[in-house]
Amino acid sequence: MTPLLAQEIIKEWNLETLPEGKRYQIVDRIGRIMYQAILVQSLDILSEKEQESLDELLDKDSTTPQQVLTFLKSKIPTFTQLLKEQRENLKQDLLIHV
Amino acid sequence: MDSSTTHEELHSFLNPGEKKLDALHVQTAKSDTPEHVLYKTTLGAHKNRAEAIKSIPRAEFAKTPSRESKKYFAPPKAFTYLNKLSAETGNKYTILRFDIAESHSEEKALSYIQKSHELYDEQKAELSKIVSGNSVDVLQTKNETASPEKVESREDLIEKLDEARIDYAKQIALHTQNVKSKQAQYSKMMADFGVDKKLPPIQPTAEFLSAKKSYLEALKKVRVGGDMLFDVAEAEFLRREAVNASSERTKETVKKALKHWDKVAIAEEPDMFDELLVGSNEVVSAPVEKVSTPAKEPVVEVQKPREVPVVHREKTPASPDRMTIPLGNFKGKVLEVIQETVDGVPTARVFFGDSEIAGGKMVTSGADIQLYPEFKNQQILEKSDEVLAFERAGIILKTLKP
Repeated sequence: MTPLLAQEIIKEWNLETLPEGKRYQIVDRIGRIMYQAILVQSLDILSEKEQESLDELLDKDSTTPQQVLTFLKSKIPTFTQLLKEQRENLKQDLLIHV
Repeated sequence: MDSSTTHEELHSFLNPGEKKLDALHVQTAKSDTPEHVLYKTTLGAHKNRAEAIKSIPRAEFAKTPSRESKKYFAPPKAFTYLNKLSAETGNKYTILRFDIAESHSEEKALSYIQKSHELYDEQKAELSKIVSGNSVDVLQTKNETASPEKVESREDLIEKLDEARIDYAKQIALHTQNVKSKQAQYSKMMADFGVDKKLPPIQPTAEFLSAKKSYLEALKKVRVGGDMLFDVAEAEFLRREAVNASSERTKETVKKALKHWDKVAIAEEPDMFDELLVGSNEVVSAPVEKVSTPAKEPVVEVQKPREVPVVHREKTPASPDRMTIPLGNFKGKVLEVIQETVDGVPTARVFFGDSEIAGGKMVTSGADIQLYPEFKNQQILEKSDEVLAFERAGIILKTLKP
């Protein structure tokens, strides 16, 4: 059993024609790619001190990806822009018209 | 037509310096003309006799495999010129004939360009620009012909994608390293001033952008009618390369972050997925069809990959319709896909080295091939060779039809 996805995600990533199971699988993997990409990009921007704080956060077992993103957002004023750029880059790689 | 001027220009254009190439015949035509192959031959045993480049129709050439090694001798700049002209005019051109006569017959040599279309003057002007100040060696090139209308086989396209991917991955690695290096310098400089600040994002180089463009073009050609999972696997591969090119610290941070990620299912963090994939978590309030959480398998932290019994499946005796699709060497092992009908059911199986790692049925929409459970990732953060091999085989699997 897989969860149904927000229509916005389906539309944004051209998943309309795919079967539900495949949609879920793709969204899961796209999310992971995005998370990794934004993290790598953020590491170029964070100061040494901020990176140390991020490491501390990641060292906790209870940390969730949402908390990591919230942390990055609080430290990087251009976070939303970075996210948008990464999303557009990925869409380009996935041959989705942006 | 001012053939003497043209001859001088072309002579200069093609003159390799040591040899005198004195007769030249270049004919261009639009793309609806038959494709010819260029090849090189020697006009005699005498050492002073120069070599000649001739052309014959492709069909005829194909019958003479012994000449295979002698083709590909057109000057690269001639192709560059025609490609440029094609890009500018929107018309496609190919070189049909390209002959160079012996070096001692300059007086007798006839040099001309046959005007085959209305763009002759433009070509001539272009050619003048190209030849001015340039001496071009007639070198062996793998540009078999410049024929833009050549139909490439799927294997060729996949091979080109492989090459483009390697180039792009290389550029990603270089860019990543460049960014890190500049960041480090900048941070150190700022630290000397007592400021803890990092360099803003650095734009990729022209080489990076060019490699990316080539990669995307190659990807488009392979993907025709393809599957998005294929693209996702490509994107994952490239981003993994970027991480691998990063510092140990970055790798470690990403590793830790992904460990947290892999514990979370979409339905548990809808806001996060919305934010990452759509750019707004406001969409949560929009009509969202939610169903029960897909119970992700509980994550067990392991120090090293769990050892699992690996079943080595033997390749069964060949059925009459068996077709082996070689995918080359991967991680030092042979990777291949075998497609055949078993008990009336079209199947495909993936072999990696001695092991059959995946298999399944061919269905109308393509191949429903699954990695066997014993090869599924036992490591949380790094993919096993079998998983990577299966992903690579996915390039072909997505294209198979029953």
